[in-house]
Amino acid sequence: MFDVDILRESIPVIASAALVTIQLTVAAAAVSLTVGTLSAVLQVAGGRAGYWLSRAYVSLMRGTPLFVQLLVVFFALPLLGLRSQAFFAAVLAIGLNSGAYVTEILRAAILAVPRGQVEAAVTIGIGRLAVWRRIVLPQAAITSLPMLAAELTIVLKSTPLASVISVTEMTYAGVLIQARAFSAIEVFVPIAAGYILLAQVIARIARMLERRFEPLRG
Amino acid sequence: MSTPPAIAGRGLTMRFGPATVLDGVDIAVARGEVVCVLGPSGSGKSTLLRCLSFLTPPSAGAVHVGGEQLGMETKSDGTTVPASAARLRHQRSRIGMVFQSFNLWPHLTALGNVTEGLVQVRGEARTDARTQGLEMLAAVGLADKADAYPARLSGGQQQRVAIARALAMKPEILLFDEPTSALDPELVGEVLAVMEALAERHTTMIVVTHEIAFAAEAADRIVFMDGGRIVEDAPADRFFTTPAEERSWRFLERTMGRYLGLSRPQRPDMSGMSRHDHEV
Repeated sequence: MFDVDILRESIPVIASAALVTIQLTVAAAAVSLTVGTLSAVLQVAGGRAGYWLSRAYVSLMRGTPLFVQLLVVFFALPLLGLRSQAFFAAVLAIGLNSGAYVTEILRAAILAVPRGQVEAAVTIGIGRLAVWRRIVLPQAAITSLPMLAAELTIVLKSTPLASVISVTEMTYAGVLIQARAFSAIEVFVPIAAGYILLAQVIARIARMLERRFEPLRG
Repeated sequence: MSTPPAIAGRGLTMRFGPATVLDGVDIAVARGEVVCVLGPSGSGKSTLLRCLSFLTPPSAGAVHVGGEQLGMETKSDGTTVPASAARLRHQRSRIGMVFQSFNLWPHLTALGNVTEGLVQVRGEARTDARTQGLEMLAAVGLADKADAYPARLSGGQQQRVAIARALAMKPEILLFDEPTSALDPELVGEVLAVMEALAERHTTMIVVTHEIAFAAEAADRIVFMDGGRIVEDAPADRFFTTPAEERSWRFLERTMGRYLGLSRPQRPDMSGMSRHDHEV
C-alpha cells in the first residue's frame, strides 16, 4: 500500500520545491504588506481621490478569483513590455490580491488608534508623515498582528495556485512526481505536512511578537 | 513698545453647524502668568484651549503667540500669507498641551514619549534627547519609571509623563485641559503638586479645571466662562472673595458653598416617598 521508496525519493524534490514556496510566500507577503499599508493610509487620509482609488483596488482584488488574477498578470506583463517571468508574475498577483485584505485589516486598526494620540503629536509639532510613521502605523501593526499572521498563512496556502502559470512550487512538484510514480498518498501527505510546518513557523513568529508587545497592554 | 502677551486670542469664535460654542472670546495671558479657566460643563472652556493651540482653528478670530499670528506667516516683503505646514508645526511647538485623557503613546516607554518630539521636531540626537528626557521625568518625580510603558503606570503617573512630554519641548505656554478630571481622587494630588511647582516657577499656564482649590491656590487670574463667553476675568483673590458678576457668584456658591458656609444646597423633599417605594 504505502510505498516507502517513493516517499524517500520524493522528499528531496519536495524539499527543494518547498524553498520556492517559501520564497514565493515571503516575496508576496512583502508586496502585500507594502501595497496594503499604502492603500490603507490612502483610504483613510488620501482625500477623495485616494479613498476611491483604494476602494476600487480592494473591490477589484476581492471580487475576482486569485486564479484569474494570476493568469491576467502573467499574460498582461508582456503587453507592458516586460518579459513574463512566472515567479515574478506569481509574486505580483498573490501579493496584490492579499494586499486588498491587508488594506482592510490595517484600515480597521488605524481607525482604532484614539484621535487624542494624533492630537498630542500635532500639539508637539510632529509632522504629518512622522505621525503616521511613528505613532499611528506602529500601533495599527501591533493591534492587527493576529489578523496579519492569519493573512500571511492564507498567502502561504495560495501559493499552489501559481502552478497554473508553471511555477514549480511544492504542490506542483508533487503533481509532477505523482504523474511519474502513479502514487499520490506518498507524495501529498508529506506535502501537506510541509504546509503545516510552514504555517506553524508563521504562527510561532506571530506569537513571539505578540508576547514581545505584551507590556504595552494594560 | 510693550512686550506682547505670551498668548492672546482675539474674537475667538467657534461654530459647529448651527451651534456657537465659542462666541467672540478675547483673552490675553502675560509671560509668567497662571490663568485658570472655570465654568460649567459645555461653557466652551475646552474649545477655547483647542482654538488657542490651533488643534481646531477657530471659525473666526486670531491667536497670537509672542506677537506672531498662528496659521499665518509674514514674508520678507512684509505681506502676510497662510503659514506653510512646517511654519505651523513650529508655531504649534511653542504651545504645550496637556489633555484630560493623557493621550500618551502606548507603544513608547515613558522616556520614549518624552523624547519623541525632541527627536522628530527638534532633530536632536537620541543620546541628547535621552539626557533631557530623563531630566524632565525627574522634574515630575518619575525618573525611575523611564522604561515603563504607559499601560504599567497609574493615571497620575501617566499624566505626569504627559506633562514632562509637553515640558520637554520648552514651550512658551502650557495649556492644561482638565488635567485631573480623569483621575482617581487619590491621584489628583500628585498631578496638582507638579502643576503648582510649575506655577511657582512662573511658567505661563492656562488651566481649564474643576479643581477650585487649585485655582484659588495657584492662579494669578481667573477667567470664568458660561455659554461660550467670558463672563468674568479677574485677579484670583478678587474673584473668590468678591466676584463682580451674579453668574460667577452663583457658580461659586454651588461649587464652594458647602465649604465656605455661603449657603446650604436644598435637600430634595422626599417626605412623600415611603421606604416601600424603593422596593421593586
